[in-house]
Amino acid sequence: MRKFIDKIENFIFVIPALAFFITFSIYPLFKTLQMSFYQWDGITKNMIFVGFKNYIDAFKDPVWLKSIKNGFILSFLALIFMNSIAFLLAILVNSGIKGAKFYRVIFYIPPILSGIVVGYIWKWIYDPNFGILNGLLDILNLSHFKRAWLSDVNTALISVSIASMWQGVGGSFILFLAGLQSIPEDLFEASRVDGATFWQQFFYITIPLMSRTLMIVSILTILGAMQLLTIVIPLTNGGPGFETEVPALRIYKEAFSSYKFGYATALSVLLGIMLFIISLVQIKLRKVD
Amino acid sequence: MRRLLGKILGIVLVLTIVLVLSVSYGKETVKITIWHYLNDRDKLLKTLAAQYYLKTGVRVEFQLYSGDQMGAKIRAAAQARTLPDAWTGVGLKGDLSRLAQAGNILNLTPYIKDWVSRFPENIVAQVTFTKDDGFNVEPGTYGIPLDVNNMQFLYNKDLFKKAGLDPNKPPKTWNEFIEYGKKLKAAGILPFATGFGTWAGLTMIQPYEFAYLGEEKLNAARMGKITFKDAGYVKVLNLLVEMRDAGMFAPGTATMDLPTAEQMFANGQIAMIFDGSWAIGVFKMMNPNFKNYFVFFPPKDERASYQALIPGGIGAYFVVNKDSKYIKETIEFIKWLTDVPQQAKYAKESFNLPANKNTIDPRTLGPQIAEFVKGMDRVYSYLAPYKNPRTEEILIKGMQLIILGQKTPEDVVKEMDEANK
Amino acid sequence: MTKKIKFSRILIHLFLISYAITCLFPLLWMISTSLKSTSEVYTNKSLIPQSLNFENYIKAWTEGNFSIYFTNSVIYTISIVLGIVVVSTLAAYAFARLNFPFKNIIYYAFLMMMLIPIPGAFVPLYVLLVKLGIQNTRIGYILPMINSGLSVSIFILKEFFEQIPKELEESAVIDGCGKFQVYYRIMFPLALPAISTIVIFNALSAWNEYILAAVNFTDPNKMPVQQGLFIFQGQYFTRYELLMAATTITTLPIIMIYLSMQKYIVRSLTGAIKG
Repeated sequence: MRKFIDKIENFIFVIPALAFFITFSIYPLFKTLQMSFYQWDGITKNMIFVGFKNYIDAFKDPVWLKSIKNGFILSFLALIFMNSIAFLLAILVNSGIKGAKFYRVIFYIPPILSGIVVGYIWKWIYDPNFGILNGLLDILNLSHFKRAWLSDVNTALISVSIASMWQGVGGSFILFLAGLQSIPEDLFEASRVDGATFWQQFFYITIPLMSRTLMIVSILTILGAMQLLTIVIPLTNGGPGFETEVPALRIYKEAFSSYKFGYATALSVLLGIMLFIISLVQIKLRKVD
Repeated sequence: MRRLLGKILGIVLVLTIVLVLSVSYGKETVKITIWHYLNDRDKLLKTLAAQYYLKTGVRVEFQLYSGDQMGAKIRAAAQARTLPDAWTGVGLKGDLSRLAQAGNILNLTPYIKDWVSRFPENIVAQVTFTKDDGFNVEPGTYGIPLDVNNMQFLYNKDLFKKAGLDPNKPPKTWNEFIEYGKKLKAAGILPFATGFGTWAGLTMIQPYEFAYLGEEKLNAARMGKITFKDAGYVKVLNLLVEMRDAGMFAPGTATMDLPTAEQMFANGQIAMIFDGSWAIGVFKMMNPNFKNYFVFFPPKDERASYQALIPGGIGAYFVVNKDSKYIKETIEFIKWLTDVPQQAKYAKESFNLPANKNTIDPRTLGPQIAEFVKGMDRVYSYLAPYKNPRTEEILIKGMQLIILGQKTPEDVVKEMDEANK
Repeated sequence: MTKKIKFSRILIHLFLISYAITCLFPLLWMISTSLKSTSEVYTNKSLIPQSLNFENYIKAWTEGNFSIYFTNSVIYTISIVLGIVVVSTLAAYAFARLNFPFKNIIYYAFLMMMLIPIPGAFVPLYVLLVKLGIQNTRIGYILPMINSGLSVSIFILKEFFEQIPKELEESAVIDGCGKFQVYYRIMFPLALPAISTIVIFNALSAWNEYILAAVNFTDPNKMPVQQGLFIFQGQYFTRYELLMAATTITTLPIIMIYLSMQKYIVRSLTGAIKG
C-alpha cells in the first residue's frame, strides 16, 4: 500500500506535462497518423482511403529518397564539423581564457539572428557576381575556383550546409558549455596532482563525463539537420533541380504546394520513425559504454 | 504527501492566475472583416475603409497578414469555419477551386452581374469557372478583381546604347533577341536574367508555349490528354538552349529569385529582364534615379505558328466567405472600392494597374506603365492545371538544369510526360 | 619552451577572434543597413552607410506598431518560458529519479513528439482551440506554445538530472526532505546550467514564433512582435532599411535574455562527495 501511494506521488510530477501533451499533442498526432492513410488535398472534403499507398509511394519517390540522402549528408557534416568546432569553442571558453565572457556572448549571436537576416547574408556571400566569397577568391588570385555556389549542382548542398552549420554552432556550443559545468573541479585538481597532462585529462576525464552531453547534442544535431527548413528556402528552395531538397522542405511542399496532404503526413511519420530509431540507438549505445 | 500536493497545487494556482490576468476580452466587434496580404497597400486600404465609414456608417476592418501566414490562416480558419467576411485570394483557379469545392467561398455571379462589365472579360475569366474547364466547380465567378498586371520584357536603354544598339528599337523578332544578346555580351554587359529559381522562369516561357503549341494543345498536354512530346514542347525548351548558347544568362540565373534579378536590373547590372508591371514601382524604390528603361513585348518567333499570349491578368482580388453574416454589405463595399475614383487613387499610390477598365489613363502613370497597359489584351485567359502538380516542379527544375547545360529539353519533356501520365 | 606556449596561445586567440568576427558580421550588417536610406540599400553595398538615418528606427517602431506587439511578445515569452520551466523540470525529475507506472512509455511518447515534424500542425491545433472556445485569446496561444517546448526541454533536463550525484539526494532525504523538497532544494539549483540553456532555447523560439500567432489571433492588438516585421516586406518589394531597424529592435530583448541567463551556466558542483 505504501508503495502504491509512493508511485502515485511520483506520478503527480508528470501530470502537468501529461495534461499538456494529451490536450495539445495527441489530437494533431492522431490526425497526422490517420491522414497518412488517406489521399487528401488539405482543403476539400473528399478524403479517399488508400491504405498503405502513401507509404509505398514514398519508397518509390526519387525526390523523397534524395531528400533523405541529403538529410543524412547534412547530419554527417554537422556532427563532424559543426560539433567539433562547438566543442572546441566550449572547452576554450571554459578554460578561463582571456575574453571568455566576451566570447560566450558573441558565439550565440548566429542562432539568435532571424532567418531573413541569415538567408540574406549567405545569399550575398554566395552571390556569383557580387558575392563576398568570389570576391575573396579574386583577391587571393584563386579566381579559377569561382563558382555560382548555390546554382551549381556540385556545390549547392555544401553551401547550404555551411550556412546552416554556421548558425547551428551556437546551440551546440552552449549545450557543451552546460555539460562541461557538471564535471566537478576537484577531479581535474586530483588528476593534476597525479601529474596528468592536458590531453590525458581530456581523454580520461572530459570525454567520458561528457558522454551524456555528446549524446544529447548528437540527437539534437541530427534532428536539426533532418528538420532543416527556414534557411533552405531563401537560399536555394531545394534547387538547382532537386539537389538541395531536404526532408522537411519536401513535406512542406507536398502538403501546401502540391496539395498532397495525406502523402505529406505519411512522409512525416516515416521521418519520425527513422529519427526515433536513430535516437534510440544513440541512447542505448551510450548506456552500453 | 499533503505538503507535496499542496506545493504543486500552489504552483498551478499561481500559473493560472498569471495566465488568466493576461487574457484580454477583445475589442468591440467590427462589422466587416477583410484579411489581406497587400503589405504596401495596407495604409491605403485602411484610408479607403475610413472614407467608406464616413459615407455609409459601415465599418470595414482590413487586417494585414503576410505570405505564409495568409495561406496558413485561411487553411486553419476554413477547417474551423471561422473565415472572415472576405479576403484577398491566394493563387488562381487551381487553388480557388478547392476552396470553392469545400464550400468556403461564395459564387458571386448572381450578386455582381449588374456591374461585372466594368472589368475586362479576360480578367474576370481568370476567377470564373465554367462547366468544361477541368475543375469540378459549380460554374460562376468567385472573385472580384482589384488590380491587374501583365509580364513582358524590359530593357535598359543606356546599356543598349553602350553595346551599339539603338535604344529606341528593342528586339521585335527572336533572332534579333539572340543577336542583341550576343552584342551585349561582346560589350561586356550581362544580357539577361530573371527568377528561374522560382515561378518567374515559368512565366518567361509561357508566351512561347502559346506561340508554339497554341492554347488548345497546350491545355490538352497540361491536362494529360496528350503528351508534351506530341504537342511539340521540346521546341519551347530549345529556346532556352539558344539563349544559353548565346551566353545570354547572367551567372546564377538558374536559381535566382525575381527580387535579386530586379535589383540587378535597377542597378544597371543586367540589360534585360522579364518582369511584371508592378516592377515599375519596385524599380522606383530600389533606385529612384533609374529611369531610362522601357518595355517590349516578347519577340516574335517566326518558327511558331500561333499567337503569343503573355502571363498576367488579375492581380489582387477579393473572395467572399459563403458563410458570412454580411454578404450583401461586403459586396456593396467591394463594389464601391472598385469604382473609378477609388481605383484612380489606388493606382496612383500603388503603381498597380487598376482592374476597372474605365480608370486606365496611362498619361498620369508614366510611359512604362502605359506600354504595359497596351499588353492587357494579349493576356491569356485560360491555362489548365497540370494533371499532376509534380509536373510543374519538374519543369521548373528542368529549366534550371537546361540553363546550366546539364539536361536536354528532350530529357525534361520525357520526365514531364512520365509524371503527368 | 615559453615560445612554444606563446605560439599556441596566439593560434588559439586567432581562431577565437576570427570565428567571433564571422558571428558579429551579420549584426554589423543589420545595423549598417538599418541606418541607410531606401535607395542606398540597393546601390551602396558597403558596410558603411553614406548617411546615418537614425529616424529609420522611429519610423520602424511606429509603422510596425511595436508598442503593442512588443508588450504582447513580452507577456507571451515570459508566460511560455515560465510554464515550460516549471512543467518540464517537474517531469524530468520524475523521469530521472522516480518510479511510476508506464514511466518508459510516457517518456518515449514525449520523445516521439520531438521527432515527428507535423506539417500544418497549426490546423488541427486551431480547430481544437475553436472547440475549446479559446481561439483569438492569449491563453489560447500560450498553452499550445508551452506544450511545443516540453519535449526537447524534458529530454535535455532528464539527462542533466541523471548526472547529479545520488549521494546529495540521499543525504537530503536522511535530513528529512520530502520528494518535492529534494526537487526544489537540490535538483533545481544544481541543474541551473541546463535550466538556463532551456530558458534560452525556449525564449528564442517563443519570441520568433509567428505562424501559430497569425493563425490563432484575429485581433491585431494581440499579435506578437514578428507581425510587426511583415509590414516592411511588400508583395513585390521589401524596405530593407526599415526591416533591419525593426529586426534590430526585436533582436535586442533576446540578446538581453541571453546575457542574463548565460551567466548561470557555471560550475555548481565543486566537490561531489566532500559536501
